[in-house]
Amino acid sequence: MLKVTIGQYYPAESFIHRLDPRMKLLCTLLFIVFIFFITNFLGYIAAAIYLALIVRTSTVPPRFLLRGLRAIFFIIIFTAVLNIFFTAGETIVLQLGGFRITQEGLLNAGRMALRLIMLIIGSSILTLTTTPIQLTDAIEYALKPLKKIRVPAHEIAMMMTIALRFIPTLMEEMDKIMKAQMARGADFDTGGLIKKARSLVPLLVPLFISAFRRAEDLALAMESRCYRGDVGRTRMKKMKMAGRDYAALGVLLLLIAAIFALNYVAGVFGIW
Amino acid sequence: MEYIVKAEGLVFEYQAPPVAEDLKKPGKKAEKIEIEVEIEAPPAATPALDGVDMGIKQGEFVAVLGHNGSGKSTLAKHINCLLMPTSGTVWVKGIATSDEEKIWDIRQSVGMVFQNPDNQIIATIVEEDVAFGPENLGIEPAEIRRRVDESLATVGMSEFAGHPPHHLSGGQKQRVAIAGILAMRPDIIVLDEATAMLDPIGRREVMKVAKQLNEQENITIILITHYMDEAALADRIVVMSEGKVVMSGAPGEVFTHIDTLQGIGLDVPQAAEIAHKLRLAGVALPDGIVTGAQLVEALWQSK
Ligand SMILES: Nc1ncnc2c1ncn2[C@@H]1O[C@H](COP(=O)(O)OP(=O)(O)OP(=O)(O)O)[C@@H](O)[C@H]1O
Ligand SMILES: [Mg+2]
Repeated sequence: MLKVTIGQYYPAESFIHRLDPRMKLLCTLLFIVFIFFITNFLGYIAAAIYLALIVRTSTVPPRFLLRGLRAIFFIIIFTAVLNIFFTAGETIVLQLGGFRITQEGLLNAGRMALRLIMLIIGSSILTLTTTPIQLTDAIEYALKPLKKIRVPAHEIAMMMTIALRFIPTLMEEMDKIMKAQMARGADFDTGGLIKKARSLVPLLVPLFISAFRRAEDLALAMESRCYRGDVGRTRMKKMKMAGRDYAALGVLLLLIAAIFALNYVAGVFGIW
Repeated sequence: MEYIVKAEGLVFEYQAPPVAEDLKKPGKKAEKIEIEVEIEAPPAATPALDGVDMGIKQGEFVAVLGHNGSGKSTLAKHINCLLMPTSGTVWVKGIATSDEEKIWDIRQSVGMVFQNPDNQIIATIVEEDVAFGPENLGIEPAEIRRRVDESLATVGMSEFAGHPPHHLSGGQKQRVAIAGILAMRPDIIVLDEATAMLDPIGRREVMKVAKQLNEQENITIILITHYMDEAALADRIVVMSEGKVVMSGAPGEVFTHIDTLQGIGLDVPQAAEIAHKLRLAGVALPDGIVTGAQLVEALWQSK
């Protein structure tokens, strides 16, 4: 069965877990942006060391991260292949009929794959060490300035919370429906793309129907617990920035500085 | 004594969906194709409650019985202002539920536990779900923290405070739902078939918590159920049929009307039925036997 790591909190009490979710969100975004500035493998090594350090501190077992990677394995392969074949370059490594594989293509593919892997690990660490509620609180906070232009920050955050809450439930349900259909002779594994897509219909229809029923129930349950949007709402866990949050930001800024320094060094010495 | 929940002449009709309303009117389509189409008028509205009168006292443990579609859930939703009466009135703590300004006070006083344990947990961590209600009420963070810890302890779920709810058993999820209500400091808890999807162990857990809250915290419990053994534990049973209350009384009394109950599609607890048959066969047994233990005791005595 398909497993998604995104949105799966790993309960622990590490330094990373205790960081303010807003700071974690900010750092993750910065990290993702700045890995795209890396031009050479020294930079990737620095970023990898940084990530390894974070993973260590977070106490999340690496297999949880690998699980998230497995889900997007094909996307990584796909982008890598695209890059190999469609990068224009001089140094030809291999000629295959009309296609040629160049050194630039290979380097680009490697870079792209590394970026994607780091991007996934970075964001997985965020979701593994932050409860979805904290995360949505952080997003709500980040969107708050946009409330003035009528962006429904609270509602967006609530929708995300509920979506995250129901991912495991719906996955379980999907699994159950799939087994029920297979017991009746449904076949999900053979046939071409069209046949496979069509075989999903008897899966998706019951899933949607049940999702709507759940939504109705949930709305009632929320209303009966006095939910009325963010009118007069307080939070149990108040977000508060502490020294450790600025320390974490400091470490990230150090990495960013290192990336630019290494870019400069690599530029001078012609390292790829 | 003053009733904490009281209904008088309560009638409620579910309105037919708007599509059906459209069909009833002579539509443009019928004119264009110039055929007189006679559309069977859909039932305008389903009467779900048809004149309910009842009163529940502070601290009572009341079970509501009735076959499918007899209006139990509809009644429960009126107590929590989720539905408004078509006619008649429901009072909660002396406040009419139609009083729009008091709706949040009433919802705070009346907690609802629904049937499906998966569809009433909003948050992804147990303690954050318990905090959801008090957060909506605008309580101070420190006080919420206190209430959450206390409520989880009351239902025996403290050790799961940091867990994601989808790893819990059905009975545990329902106890979390109860904790979420307790944190709002309610006077009344309505359990609408809250045990229907649970295994026997889960059911026992939930019933134990409900009993304990009723006895120790003096919370009024309204238990809607199809399980006669659960109803037998109540102080009083209210029997509904076709949107009306047809019987009300102590379990020992209600369960002697076996024929009436079976006539409206309900069972009686096995012990009550056996006692009834034994009485018919000439065995002298006291009235009010509803549980197996009572029956055994009575048989011992009747020697
Ligand atoms: N949302 C709705 N729209 C229209 N009719 C409804 C709706 N909900 C319930 N009804 C109808 O109202 C009547 C009473 O339903 P209600 O759900 O109160 O019964 P119940 O006693 O709770 O039954 P159950 O034991 O199955 O839960 C039924 O005839 C039902 O079909
Ligand atoms: Mg019902």
